[in-house]
Amino acid sequence: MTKYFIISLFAVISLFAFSSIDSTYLLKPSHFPAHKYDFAKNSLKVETIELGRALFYDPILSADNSISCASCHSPFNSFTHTDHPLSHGIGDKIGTRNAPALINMAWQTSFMWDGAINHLDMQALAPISNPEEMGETIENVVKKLQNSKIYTKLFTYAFNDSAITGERTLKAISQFLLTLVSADSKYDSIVRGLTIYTLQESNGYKIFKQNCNSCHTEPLFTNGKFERNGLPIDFTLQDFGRLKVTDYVNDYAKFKIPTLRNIEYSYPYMHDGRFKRIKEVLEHYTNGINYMIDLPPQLKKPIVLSSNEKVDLTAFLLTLSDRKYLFNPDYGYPKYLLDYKAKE
Amino acid sequence: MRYCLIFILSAIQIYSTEVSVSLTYGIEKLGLDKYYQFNTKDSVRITKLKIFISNVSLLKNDKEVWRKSRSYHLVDMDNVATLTIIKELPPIDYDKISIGLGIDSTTNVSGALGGDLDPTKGMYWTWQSGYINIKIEGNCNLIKNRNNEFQLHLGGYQFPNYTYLETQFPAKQDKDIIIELDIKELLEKIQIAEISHIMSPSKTAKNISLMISKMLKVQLND
Repeated sequence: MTKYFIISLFAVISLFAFSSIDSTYLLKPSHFPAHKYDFAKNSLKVETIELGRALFYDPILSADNSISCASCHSPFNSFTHTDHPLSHGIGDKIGTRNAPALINMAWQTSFMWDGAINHLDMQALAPISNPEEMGETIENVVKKLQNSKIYTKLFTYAFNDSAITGERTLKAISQFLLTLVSADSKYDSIVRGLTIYTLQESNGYKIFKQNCNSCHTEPLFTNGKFERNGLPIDFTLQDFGRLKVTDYVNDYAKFKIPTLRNIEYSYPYMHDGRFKRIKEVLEHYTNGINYMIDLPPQLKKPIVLSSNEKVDLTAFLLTLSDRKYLFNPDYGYPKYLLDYKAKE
Repeated sequence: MRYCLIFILSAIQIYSTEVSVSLTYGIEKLGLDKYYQFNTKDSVRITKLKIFISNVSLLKNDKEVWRKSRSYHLVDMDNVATLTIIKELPPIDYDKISIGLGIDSTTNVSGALGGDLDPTKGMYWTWQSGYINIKIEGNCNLIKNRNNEFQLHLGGYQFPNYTYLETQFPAKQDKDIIIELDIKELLEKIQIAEISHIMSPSKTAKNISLMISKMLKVQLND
């Protein structure tokens, strides 16, 4: 029986390996800058990516085995959580921030809305340990994985021996996250010279370049920095952003500039999910900015847009939607692996 | 001829010089969970003590002559074997040893690492990246909170609260190097009743780390 299990599992994995050989996820899109992640320290391997994918979708990472990474980072919402302004955790607990969309992780150098995490490998530790998210410890996660037959096998395929450690667990999750590359939107096709903008999108692109591109910089649609964007502080959350991380007064109320890729699917918006629609976000930047707050130079001069211009800008923003990213079978729930695990 | 052989064998043995840590409470050897007298009428006990010793190197005339590779060692009072940092120093000529207290900033931004640096060792902050260099936990009746607890988690890899420190001590070939730290002196100096909880990088954490690095003493044994 065990032998059967190993053979069939191996067959499934090698099948997957085949289907992934021509996948673009190991490649850098030609119009993207160089990766920021150091692949030399964690070189991608199909078996390790698969292990990372299983871990990403497995609620074993949470204290009561109820919440997985995917609970708040669902592929169909560009790896965030629609309908929930603030992230949810074990026992229906509610956090203080909106789950960010996971897109093009290999190009990021700091993580979380406040940049508290300095490396992709260490990112998963935060939600695993947060009492309002998974409420677990990495020590105990490793113990649970060590007691699982399927994970012992998956770790062996991934790392050539059966040792399950914190380092390996985190590196495997990183490997899966590194494969999440979105570079197949209409915008990308236009950059590649395969299609052209409509008149409306083209107008929107001009408005974008004049008003948004300095922070939401092409082609990643973020410059990875932290800024104050004039949002009134929500004092019920007492969240002052990057100040908590750096203890530097100038970082008061600064949050990470998020990517605009897949913005169509990643609502609600802002660090606390206060806006449900793109329309509300544009309303904020044109009429809602609190000018009493010290603002970055880009926002000091009010942005004036007519309602037609707003419609055009929105049309451009929708060219950043990458449906293939949402439905990429390589990113989805690894049913065959977690079905095996359920039988343990 | 036979005598000569014995002489050579004993000479080889002398070369296995080690580097270890000795933790004391005053003049006593420190034991976990044991109550010690603090001030005149108070008591204190240590329930957890973990210290990262890293980047050990040997110097001669202030020039580095040897460096231990991947030298990140977690001293954990729960496991006596971890008090030995290096089992055998190389048989070369040196006059100083340099040790790092904590984890340097480069290692702090290098992603997931294994061995003593594995985050399952309980020496990594989760809500914010960075290693905890030193963890000291215990109880003292002077601390007026639940269970009279104190928890000092010292770390920080970013300016201005960078807490990693390197210290040099005189050393000599063929002599065991014992790095000593007196916890009684530490608790008295930081006035544990005043500072009972440090759980994140701060100026206080930096100052206490500096204090600890200055309190380290070295003893050379044959």
